[in-house]
Amino acid sequence: MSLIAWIVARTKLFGRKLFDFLAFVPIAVPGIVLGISMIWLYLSFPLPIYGTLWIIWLAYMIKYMPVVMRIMSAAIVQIHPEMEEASMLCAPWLMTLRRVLFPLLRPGLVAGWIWVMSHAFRELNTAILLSNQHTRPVGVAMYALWNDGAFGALAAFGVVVSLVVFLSAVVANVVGQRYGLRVR
Amino acid sequence: MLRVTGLKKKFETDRGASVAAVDNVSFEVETGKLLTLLGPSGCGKTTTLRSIAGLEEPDNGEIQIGSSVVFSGLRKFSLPPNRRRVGMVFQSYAIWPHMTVFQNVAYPLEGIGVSKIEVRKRVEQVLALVGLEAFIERPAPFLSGGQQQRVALARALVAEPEVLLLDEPLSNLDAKLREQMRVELRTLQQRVGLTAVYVTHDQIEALAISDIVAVMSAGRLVEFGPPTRYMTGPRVDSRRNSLAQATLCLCRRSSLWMERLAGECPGAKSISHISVKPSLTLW
Repeated sequence: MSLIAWIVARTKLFGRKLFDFLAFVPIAVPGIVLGISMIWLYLSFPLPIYGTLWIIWLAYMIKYMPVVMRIMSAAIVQIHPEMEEASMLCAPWLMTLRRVLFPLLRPGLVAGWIWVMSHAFRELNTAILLSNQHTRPVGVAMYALWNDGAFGALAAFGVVVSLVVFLSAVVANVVGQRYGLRVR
Repeated sequence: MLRVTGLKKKFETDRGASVAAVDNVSFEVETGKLLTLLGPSGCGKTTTLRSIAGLEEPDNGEIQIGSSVVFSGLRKFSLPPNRRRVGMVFQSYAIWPHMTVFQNVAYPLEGIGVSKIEVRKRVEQVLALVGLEAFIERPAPFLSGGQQQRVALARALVAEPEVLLLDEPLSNLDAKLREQMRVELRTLQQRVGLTAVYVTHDQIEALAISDIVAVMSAGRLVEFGPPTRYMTGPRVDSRRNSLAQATLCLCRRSSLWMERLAGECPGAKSISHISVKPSLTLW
């Protein structure tokens, strides 16, 4: 994802604006619609991920791509292009990415990762359509508890989930502030 | 030796019009000489420098560094920047903040088959050259502007480049430090026998530091020659003369180099008698 953001921000590659646009499109797709399309697509598409955790993982990738792209491009814009150019003068581009760009992007990467984690943790709309009893994310599990009338377990579970998400949000804020990058 | 022949580079504006940033620029820098590209902002001097480094792809022309052609528009050939054997000091210094001084300076030696002991030795040598040997283990964010500048210079020199490129390296320093660094830079360049291209918009700096000054305007090279070419005896034109006087006052304080130039300048007995030619007071 950060590679796409870097291509959009720094290179003059033909069609990079299209990349940017495509990565932003999923923000307009409701979770339920995304779930149904994933089912239909992977029932016929020859990639055997239907009914596994991978299909949920892929759906989350699509769903959170727009936000991660924004976070990453904000982080990249903050890095002076001369930082990379100084490296390009004496190293191949892969070394520039690995030794200069990614270390400088780390705060943005961490912030983006925590943002996605805390949102994906309690996601329900998309996952409920894609999961089964073996692949059950937290949101779906809570919904199942509710359906079963196990309100005690549900309440306890809810407290734990809230705590975990809250703590990760705190960590994201601390990381963001330390490196001068704010996450909303 | 560096030779630039018929260099051309156009930029597209947002409205689709194209502007010639560099228009048919040719020059040659002999080994061990320092050439300054002088001109107002937007005259194409930085684009020329970045083309030599390979950070910008020219539309046409030829660039030769040492014995190898690194760019040829005719043959559609362009060597990637890391294989051109150039060192560059950027305007922002571009010191990597997540590394120490040692790591910054050692970086260009990585991956070219230099042993660890040899790396250490060469980094220490080059840091001694710029007077920073005591700061070798210091993390980059704990350096002052002047120190960052020296690290940038050390990093540009450590792999023994054929050509050193300097993009307004002194413009972020305060006036006093700028003068000091200018003298140091010149001394270092002459001592090591470096071939260098120096970009600046500052006339004083150009006259004080160069073997050859190339004045650029609107993408073209308009005048070319040693600093003395731009100096004449006392002028009557008072407005221009006051600029020249101010210029030379600064020069006198900063470098002995200028005294020598005064001796070579026709019609001037001492440095206070020189004034600067109109082509240098365009902006």
